[in-house]
Amino acid sequence: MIGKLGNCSLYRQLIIPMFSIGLISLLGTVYFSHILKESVAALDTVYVDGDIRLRNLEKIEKQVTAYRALSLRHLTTESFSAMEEISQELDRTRLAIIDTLPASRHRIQLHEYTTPQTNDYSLDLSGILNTYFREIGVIIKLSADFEKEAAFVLLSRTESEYIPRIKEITSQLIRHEFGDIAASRQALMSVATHNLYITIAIGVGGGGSLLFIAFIVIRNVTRQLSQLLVWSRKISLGDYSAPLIQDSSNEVGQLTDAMAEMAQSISDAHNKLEMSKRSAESIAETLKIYANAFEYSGEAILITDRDNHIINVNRAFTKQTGYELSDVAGKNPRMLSGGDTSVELYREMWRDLERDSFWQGELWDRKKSGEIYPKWAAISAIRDQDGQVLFHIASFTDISDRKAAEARIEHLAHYDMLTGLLNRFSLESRMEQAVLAAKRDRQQLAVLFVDLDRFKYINDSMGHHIGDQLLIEVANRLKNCLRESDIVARIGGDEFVIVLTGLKEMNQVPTLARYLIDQLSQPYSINDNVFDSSPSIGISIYPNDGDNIDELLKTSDIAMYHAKDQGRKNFQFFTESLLVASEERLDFEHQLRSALELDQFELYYQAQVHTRDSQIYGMEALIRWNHPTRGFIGPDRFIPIAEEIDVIHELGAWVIDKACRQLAIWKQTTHTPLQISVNLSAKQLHSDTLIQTVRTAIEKHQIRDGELELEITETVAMSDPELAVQQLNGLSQLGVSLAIDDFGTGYSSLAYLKKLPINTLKLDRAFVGDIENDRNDAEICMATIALAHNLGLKVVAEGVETTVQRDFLTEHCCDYLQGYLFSKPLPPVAAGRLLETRYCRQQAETSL
Amino acid sequence: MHNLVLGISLPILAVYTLMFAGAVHSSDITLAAANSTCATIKAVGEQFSQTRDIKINYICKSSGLLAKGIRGGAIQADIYISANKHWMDYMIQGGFVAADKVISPWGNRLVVGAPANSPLELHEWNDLTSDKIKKILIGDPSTAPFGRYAKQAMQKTGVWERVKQKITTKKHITLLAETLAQSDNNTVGILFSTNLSDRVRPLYSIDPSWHPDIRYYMAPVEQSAGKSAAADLLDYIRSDPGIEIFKTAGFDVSLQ
Repeated sequence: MIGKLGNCSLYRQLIIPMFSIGLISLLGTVYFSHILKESVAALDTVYVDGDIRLRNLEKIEKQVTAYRALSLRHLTTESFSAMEEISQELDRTRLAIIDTLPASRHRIQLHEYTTPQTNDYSLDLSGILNTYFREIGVIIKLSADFEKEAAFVLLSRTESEYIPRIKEITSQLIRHEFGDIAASRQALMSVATHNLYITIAIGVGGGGSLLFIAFIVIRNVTRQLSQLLVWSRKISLGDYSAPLIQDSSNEVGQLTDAMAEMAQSISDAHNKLEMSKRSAESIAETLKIYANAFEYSGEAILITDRDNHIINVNRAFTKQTGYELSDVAGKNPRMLSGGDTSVELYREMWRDLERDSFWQGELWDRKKSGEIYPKWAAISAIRDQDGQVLFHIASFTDISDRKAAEARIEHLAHYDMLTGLLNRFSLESRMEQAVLAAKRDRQQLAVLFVDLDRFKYINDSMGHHIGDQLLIEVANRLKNCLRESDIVARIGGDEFVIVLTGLKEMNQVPTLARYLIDQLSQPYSINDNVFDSSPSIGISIYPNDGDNIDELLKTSDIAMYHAKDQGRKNFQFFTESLLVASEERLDFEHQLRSALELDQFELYYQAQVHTRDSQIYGMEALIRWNHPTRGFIGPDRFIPIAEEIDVIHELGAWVIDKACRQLAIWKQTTHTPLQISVNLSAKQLHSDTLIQTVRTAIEKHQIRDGELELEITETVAMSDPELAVQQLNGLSQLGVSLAIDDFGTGYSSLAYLKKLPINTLKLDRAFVGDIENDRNDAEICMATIALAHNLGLKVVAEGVETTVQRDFLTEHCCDYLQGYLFSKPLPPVAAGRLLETRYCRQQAETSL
Repeated sequence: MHNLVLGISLPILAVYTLMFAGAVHSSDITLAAANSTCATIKAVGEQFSQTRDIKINYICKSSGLLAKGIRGGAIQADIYISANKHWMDYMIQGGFVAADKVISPWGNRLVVGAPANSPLELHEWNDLTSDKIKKILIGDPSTAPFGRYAKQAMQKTGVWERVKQKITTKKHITLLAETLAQSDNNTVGILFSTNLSDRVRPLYSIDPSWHPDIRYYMAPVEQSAGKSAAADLLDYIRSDPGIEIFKTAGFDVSLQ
């Protein structure tokens, strides 16, 4: 069949089989890409399903929160009919939750890729939710029977038993859901990939068959063409009598016929041409040798005519100067001059050329790029028989490399004269190489900054001579400790730098550092005197602590100072925190220490008002640091640091005293009862001087029971409960009222708070803010207030900024309010004026 | 004689409290009284302090909220008066009151009341279930004893389940009396007879056998700072002039 093909026209040989195979592959590809599309669609469904299930879970979470809020509202409602409405709402929410539940389970079970675990959790969730609903049902029944007290007790128990579990299960489900989606996606991806491979296989198969047929046809044609080629080569070699075989009727066959005719006419023309060619060849040969010698010479060569115009330059010239022949042809070589060569030298050059026809010397020329460079020039003048100059030939060698090397050798000679170690300059150049090598080989370097601990003392007391001897001995010991390949230098006074190269294991570094400390701490005996000295070593690592020499030296220096701080005779690695700590922190601490003496602290006072009529009942004292350059600094910035550096006790005592004094003044001037509250920090609460501090202030300023309130945060009270209870009881006995500051983190703590002698809960501003953002969360919190009231505690809301918040808090029987809506924190004089009015006029709601 | 004793003891008391309680005002007494006794106890207190240099502060809330406030630390009081035994027992359990110091000087009666101008009539108890009455105000049974008694009475007579949907609770009795006075013609309230006023008239007197005896309980608070002054006040409340004021106000002063 293939043989038969050979006789058809090329068009038939190629197009028909190609068309049919192409069609088959196309159909195959279309079919399988359809299947591929389906698997992609299935993949999409997995995402959508997973998304729906996730959204369902989120919906359940939301609705559970709503359900909690409703159940709490039910308990705080007084009218039966209102309770009925809430209970219907509760039923609706419960049904909505249950509706969402089986839907999610149903889908999960249907899905073929789902792991069985998810179902367990889902059942578990619905189980626990149902139990929770049953419990709440009982509570609601109690509440509807107006047994609110019992209902509250049951509710706190139920909430703390079920809510954390429900939350845990829901979040586990969500986690699993994500896992599921990933698993299904993987399964579908493999199906899709499989389909994709088949599609590609069919495409490739079809393409391959096409190529095969094309190959067969082309092989046929090539065979005929190569016969033609063999024949035509014979013709071109002059064998015009070669036979031509013509065995095909296709296009190649026709071409063969045409070429046979052409061969005859070429044969005639050829014979004529042959004659003239031979004579030309011998002349060209000679010229070429000279041209090459010039063109390929390693030296830059320039040729000028007798009038000193450039007529030719070679490749080396172009390479050296950057000028092409076209840039310089016809110009005077003066254009190359860099201006650094003296006029005297040029004069001498022309004189020599005139006299000896030759000159050589160093010239400073300018490259095309503008760079000035030194070169060694040799110039010859070529003359005819009459002594007339025909042209000049100049050759140049770039000697800038040699110049630089000379300079460097000069510097390298600068070793440290005293110890024979490298000096700072050579350290830097050696380090530069080491850093480059480390970068290339991806290795690490360790830079050890060594400083002698008592050198200055020895130097001052024993004289420079002894000091120098000591340094020499130290240098010797260092050299003995190190490998030949390590770099060791003295960069000034008693500072040595060691660079360890080619490190494989970083744990070699501490070992070596320890060894160095040991060796350098052995007694030194110099001129019959025995000294003790020791080193402090700071270590930085390339590339972690710096990728250039300057940084590495700086960081190892900082680490060395840290080692000195840590009691000398030790080594420290550099860390980022050292950098920060070393600079800003010290400064800040120093200023904080002196701020109290410099009277830079101020107390501001923010009014707390009765919810019902906005009458002021108390003031919260808030500390500020009036920093001379940074302006006002809030307590959250400096209190933690004050705690760390133990300024807090002094500062805390100052605040308590100042606030009590202010209260005494106000009591005299305004004649109205007033409470002042002061914040206690964690460390203050745990201090054994706290009780005495408070007692002193109370007695000094004649503060009565309940007039001073101290605020602690919930977390502080929880951190060391036993001590907290003991301290708070002590304060309570002094007649100090106590408040929990950031209240609102949950029910569990309420049980614990019962054990503390607390009078007041301060509702955190975050919850007050939630009133407008998340009504359900806010409602839960407000119901907590109801529970707090039940424990006999009063409730203050902080950060009240809008009338919406105020109204909500009023509705939920919050006792006292505090915030910008009533007054911002004021300096004492302004706060005093406000107190005289007794009521806080509400501020216009600014755009907060 | 009485005045003489006081005349001697008060300065001593003042010195005592100054020494041991720092800056506390020498002669302050705080009375935490069940709301229903509030007006009457104030009258007694006024008479008491006419002859003495003693300032009396009053905290009037429902008995339950007072008891919890004292136990929780939010309320500092020297004397506690409860409108039922339950909350006094709660104080005893907490160690805030000594059981042998508790006395029960008065009793009270429960009535169904309506706004003074309301044409509503209540011939018998079961009329509470009729359509004329749309809303019944009672005290919160959890914390206000007069609400607890009302609920017990309704449960005992078997109307509770039928009238429950009409009920709205109030935190304490003065609040209830005030709300009731401003209510419409379909509203009634159950309150102590001593809390009736010219704005609230009685419709029906509740049979005392339907609920436990309504008795008040009074005791000094153990942690009180001004114990002696408080003891004096307690004595005065139980003395004839004190009892007389309660009797006038409508309390049952027969000793139990």
